[in-house]
Amino acid sequence: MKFRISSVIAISMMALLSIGLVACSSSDAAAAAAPAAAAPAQAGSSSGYVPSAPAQPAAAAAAAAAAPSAEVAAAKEVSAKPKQTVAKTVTEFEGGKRGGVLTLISGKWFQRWDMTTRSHWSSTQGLNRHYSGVLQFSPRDGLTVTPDLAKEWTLSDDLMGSSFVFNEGVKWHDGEDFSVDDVIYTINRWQNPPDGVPQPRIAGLLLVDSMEKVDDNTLNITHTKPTSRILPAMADAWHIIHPEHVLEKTGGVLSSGDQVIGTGPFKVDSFSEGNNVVSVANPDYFQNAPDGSPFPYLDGITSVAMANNDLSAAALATGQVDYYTTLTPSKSFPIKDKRPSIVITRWDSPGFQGISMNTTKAPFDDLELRKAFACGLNTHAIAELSSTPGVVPMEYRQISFFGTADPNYEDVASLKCVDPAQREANEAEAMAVFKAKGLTEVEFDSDTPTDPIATIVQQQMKELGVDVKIVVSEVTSAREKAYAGDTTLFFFGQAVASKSPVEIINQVYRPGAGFELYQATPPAKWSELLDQLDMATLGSEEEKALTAQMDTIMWDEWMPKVPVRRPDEFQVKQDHVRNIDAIATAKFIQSRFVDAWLDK
Amino acid sequence: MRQYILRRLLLLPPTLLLLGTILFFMVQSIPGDVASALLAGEENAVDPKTLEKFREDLGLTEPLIVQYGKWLAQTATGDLGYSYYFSKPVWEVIKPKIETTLTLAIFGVLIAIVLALPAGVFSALFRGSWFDQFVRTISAAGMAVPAFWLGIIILLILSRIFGWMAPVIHSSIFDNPIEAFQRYLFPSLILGFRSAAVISRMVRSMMLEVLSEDYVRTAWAKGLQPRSVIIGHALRNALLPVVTMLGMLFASLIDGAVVLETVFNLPGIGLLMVDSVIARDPGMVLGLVLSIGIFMMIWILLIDLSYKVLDPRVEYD
Repeated sequence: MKFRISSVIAISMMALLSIGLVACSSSDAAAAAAPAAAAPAQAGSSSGYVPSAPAQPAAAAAAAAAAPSAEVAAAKEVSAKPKQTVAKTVTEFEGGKRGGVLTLISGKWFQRWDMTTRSHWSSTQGLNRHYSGVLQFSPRDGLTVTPDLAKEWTLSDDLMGSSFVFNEGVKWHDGEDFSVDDVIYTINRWQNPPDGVPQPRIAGLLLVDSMEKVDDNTLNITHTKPTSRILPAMADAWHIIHPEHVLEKTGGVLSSGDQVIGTGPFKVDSFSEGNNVVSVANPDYFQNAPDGSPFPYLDGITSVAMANNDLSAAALATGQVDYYTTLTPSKSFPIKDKRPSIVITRWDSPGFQGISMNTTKAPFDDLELRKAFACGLNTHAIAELSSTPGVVPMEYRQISFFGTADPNYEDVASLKCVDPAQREANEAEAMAVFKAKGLTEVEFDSDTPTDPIATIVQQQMKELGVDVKIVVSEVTSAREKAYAGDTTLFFFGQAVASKSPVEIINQVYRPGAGFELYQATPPAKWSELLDQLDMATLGSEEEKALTAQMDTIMWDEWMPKVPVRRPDEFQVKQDHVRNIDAIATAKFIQSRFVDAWLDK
Repeated sequence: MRQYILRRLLLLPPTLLLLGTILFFMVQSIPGDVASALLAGEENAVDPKTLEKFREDLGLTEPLIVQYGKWLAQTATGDLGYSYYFSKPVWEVIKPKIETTLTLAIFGVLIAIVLALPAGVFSALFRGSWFDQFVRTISAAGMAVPAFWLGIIILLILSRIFGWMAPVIHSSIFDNPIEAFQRYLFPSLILGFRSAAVISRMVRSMMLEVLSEDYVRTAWAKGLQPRSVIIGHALRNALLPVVTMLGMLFASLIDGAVVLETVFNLPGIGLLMVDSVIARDPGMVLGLVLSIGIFMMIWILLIDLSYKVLDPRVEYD
């Protein structure tokens, strides 16, 4: 009897605890639904839910209005040739209050102090503010190439060369002078890294064939092919410049926070391995605000690594941190219940998520089957089903081959394989092909048991007469299986550091990028267009026209991957944080915070 | 006694060799390696040719037996090896994390002792009372509730209901004891509570057994003070198996720390172990396990030696 009484009490207590947990968790769902309903009313407010694209000018205007010394700089000409349309202006800096320390969450701990050796965005959020690149993408749009260490640049007429003129008097954090030799050393190190030093984001820098130091401030680069892509490559958030005098002493290996010495707006003051990096403003930073006052506005930045999203949400809700570039909607919206002043802004992630098909073996060595599989899938339903309920519009969006930079992005739903009106016809066509080709079953490898993609694909394909067998492995094992060519279908995602279709191509389709794994060889016409695209100006009409043609070829003649979805992400910040816009690539670009300020 | 200690210390190298060898081949047998983890990261892929070249650079393409020989030769010199994932010597990666995990484990043990001893003793003394029922119920719940679940519950309750959470910026307990206390309080409480659940039950049953012994009855009959009988005669004898268990529990506390470090964002050995296994970093995994192995063997030796203090009748030879 005693046993029964104690059992009953124990079970009751556990039930009470469970109710507590459910109560806490269910507030997630309720809160996730609430802002969805409230969104239209709050749109544009400085402290509410802000829809992505249209809200940005409004947010910027609100911030500008709130700034006592708000001032938008006059555009500054750079010496780029008239032919190219890149970088006509420097970033439109907005004046702000000086002082204060911004505390931000940098995602999980970045693990490696050499940020060039790890491709995850936690590296840029945790370390990038200490460095500068040759050029940089504007933190306002994430696409415009703007000056950084180089103040001027030119491309040769034949696009086989480029020339960069660097700022004078730039100093490393340890007081040493920066020189062109540091740039040459860094690019050489990218191309020929010391043993055991990976360089996963090298793609664009492979365009550098040779370098010539003209004088202490000028560098000429010869390209491996005619291209204008050297400019975005130099602006890539990962392509920061290292000090030769520091890395020479360590054999090119950077393995401690003490060795994080850059020319960036902040310098490392202290760090706690695995948890935080405390940075203070660099008094010798070479860039000034448009009014001539020194950048940065902040006295310092402390970035804290968080091992999970619950913790991140709690840190934001209790006001311990000011900013996090991305938090899941189910965790971010409930924060507003406790802290109404929190600002949540939706932004489109520059990513591509799709299904990789192994084209080196049956069944997907057959183009017709690849097309049938891609068009048979209802990607709209996948995006809808995998989104967090209650978040309007959906957290995920369906895509074509170029993800965020999709030439058909605005009307992606009208594409043949995506258009809901053609869904029945597409499915009937796919089913007929599967039947004719005898495809009845296929394996789908997944590395995330909680991701619904595999299950949704399984259900959709079952209706088309194909039995999808899901094989779940732990992430590293699954990746290894893909490298070994043992997978047939494999879901993958890739984030890119610039909102440019070329970046998607570099990371996903271009031979040597990595994700071309077991992908069919591109049609000759597509490769020709890629060569032309390499010469086109970033963001130009020519680029759009070329990618549109390439997109068509990919649907009709190649089908290298099944484009599925890309995520929208949710920036969360305290309302006193100014001048960190929610733009695509925010994770990468907005990691120097040179003109961010606190309205406290 | 000296011979006993010497014998136990001499057992250390062969035990570690066996442990390291088994682990070496286990780590090598699972799919994936540190080269792909480094090049691919969380969301990137890599050109197979680049990957192969990188594997060669790291020596991962050498025959397994050659790799094992190299590892053995290097470990024999007391060198824990090099972590490719963190690109620094293993010991340099482990060193700053020790304080966190050890603090968590020590606080956990202290809380467990403070909670479990009185609970177990009074539970036995007042067997069948409401207090006994309460302690048994709580200890049953403590054993049943997973640490991560309890951790998340506490985190949510503190932040959502009370609008409070411990400071997120980590600092050493020696630099800022007050902030460190706040950071360690709840994870230590969880660790301690779960351990106390086990220990209190053990103390209770041992006390019940000892209290029925003749010598305890004699002590009562001699008219000794209750405090002297319970603490001096009964508890001291009841503690012997409990101390053994405490030793083992310390190992499970390190195990529990893996989970709680993740939930409460404490940069310790636990988080490091998880990251190293995911990264398939053989140097780091082996170095970590060997370090924990050495620590545990010495810890268990100390526990064994403490028997003499509790019971002078114990002979080691």
